[in-house]
Amino acid sequence: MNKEHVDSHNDSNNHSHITACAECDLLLEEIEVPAGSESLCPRCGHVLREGRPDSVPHALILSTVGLLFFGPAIGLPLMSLSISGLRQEVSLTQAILSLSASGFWDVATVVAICALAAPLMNLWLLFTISLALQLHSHQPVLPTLMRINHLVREWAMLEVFLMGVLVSMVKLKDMAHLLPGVGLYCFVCLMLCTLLLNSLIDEHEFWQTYDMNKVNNMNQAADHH
Amino acid sequence: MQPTKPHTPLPTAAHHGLALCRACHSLQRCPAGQCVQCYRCGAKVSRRIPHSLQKTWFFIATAVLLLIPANFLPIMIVSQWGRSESDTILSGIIKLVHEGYPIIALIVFIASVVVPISKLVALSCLLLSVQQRWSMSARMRMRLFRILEFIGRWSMMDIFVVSVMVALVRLGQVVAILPGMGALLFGGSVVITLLASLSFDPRLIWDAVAPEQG
Repeated sequence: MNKEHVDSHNDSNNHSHITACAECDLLLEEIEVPAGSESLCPRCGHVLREGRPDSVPHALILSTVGLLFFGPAIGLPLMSLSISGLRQEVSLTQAILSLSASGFWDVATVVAICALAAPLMNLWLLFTISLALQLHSHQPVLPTLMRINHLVREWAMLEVFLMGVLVSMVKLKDMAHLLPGVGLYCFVCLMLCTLLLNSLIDEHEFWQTYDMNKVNNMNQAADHH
Repeated sequence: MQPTKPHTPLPTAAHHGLALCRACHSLQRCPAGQCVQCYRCGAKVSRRIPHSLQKTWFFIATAVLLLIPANFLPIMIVSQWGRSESDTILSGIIKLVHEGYPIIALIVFIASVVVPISKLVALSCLLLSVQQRWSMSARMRMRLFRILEFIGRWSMMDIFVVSVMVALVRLGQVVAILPGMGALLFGGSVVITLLASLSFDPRLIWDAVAPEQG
């Protein structure tokens, strides 16, 4: 098993300057992409790489800010409603709990995954990975974390949830008096962080940094001996 | 466009016995029809997603079976001062129009009616085009697939609307909103449609294309 790993590693090192398009499988030569531009697959037009230098420090800063907003965004009331003197406030966590309390635990699970667990995992993993890479780590667990992040990102739907909150505000407007809460503002900031993350980082940069850390460390170890 | 001579097979990764890891985009040797573990990130790697067409058809069929009743059953039930009124997806949209919010109504209509249906129809067309070797432009089909992946997530919006309203409006006797069976079926349908597009391998579109068409 171990030997196979080494073999395949050497194998791909031999053609490490060659890559394939993820969407049409065309073999292509890997090229350096200047900052601000992107390389496209000549056959299907898939974006192969985006020149986004400093992806790792950007990810570190934005995920830290995002995590700071996360607690208030899910714990503080998104909005409050009052009908004939009665008042009710709701946060995301309460919304999930009251959904499952009314017997719809399956809907509650979907909401919990898409609006809470997946975005939280995404931010936390990005924070851990970018911090480790920034500290020149090449821990063998990092690739696994990056793979999990790739899976989790698919299910994070903060922007869709926020749109849902706005639509429900419109729907309730005629029925009751509504006030946006602190949680809603934190949620907007949190969503802005994730939008910036998506437009400022290129995953390839992470893998490149990881490979570079690994090579540097191996060279250092060789120097010692 | 890649300048290629006619009738020479295009240099694809699969043609050279290689497979691209979908998680970390590293290229590695992989025998046809087999799965290997990615040397870098440990993900399962194969030249094409195994049984992609069958899996996608299965998810599409399940999503359709859930989506049809989801549109007729109430998505939420509003009980105000003792009388209750149930809303389906469509009646909620009509109500929004009557209350004078045509733009919001349009957004909800697109997110919960147009997107789920068109995604299932378009995904079925893509599958048929691969299986029947339709001579549609592969680039066009690819663009369709990318649009689907981008907009698909927005159909989850109605589920979020229901959950916020249910949590917010529960003032006992005065007024309360409860989720309906429709919400459960609709949510299931959306999740399964997402799984369908995740299990479709876009590289299959290109495998059926003759090299000179590329």
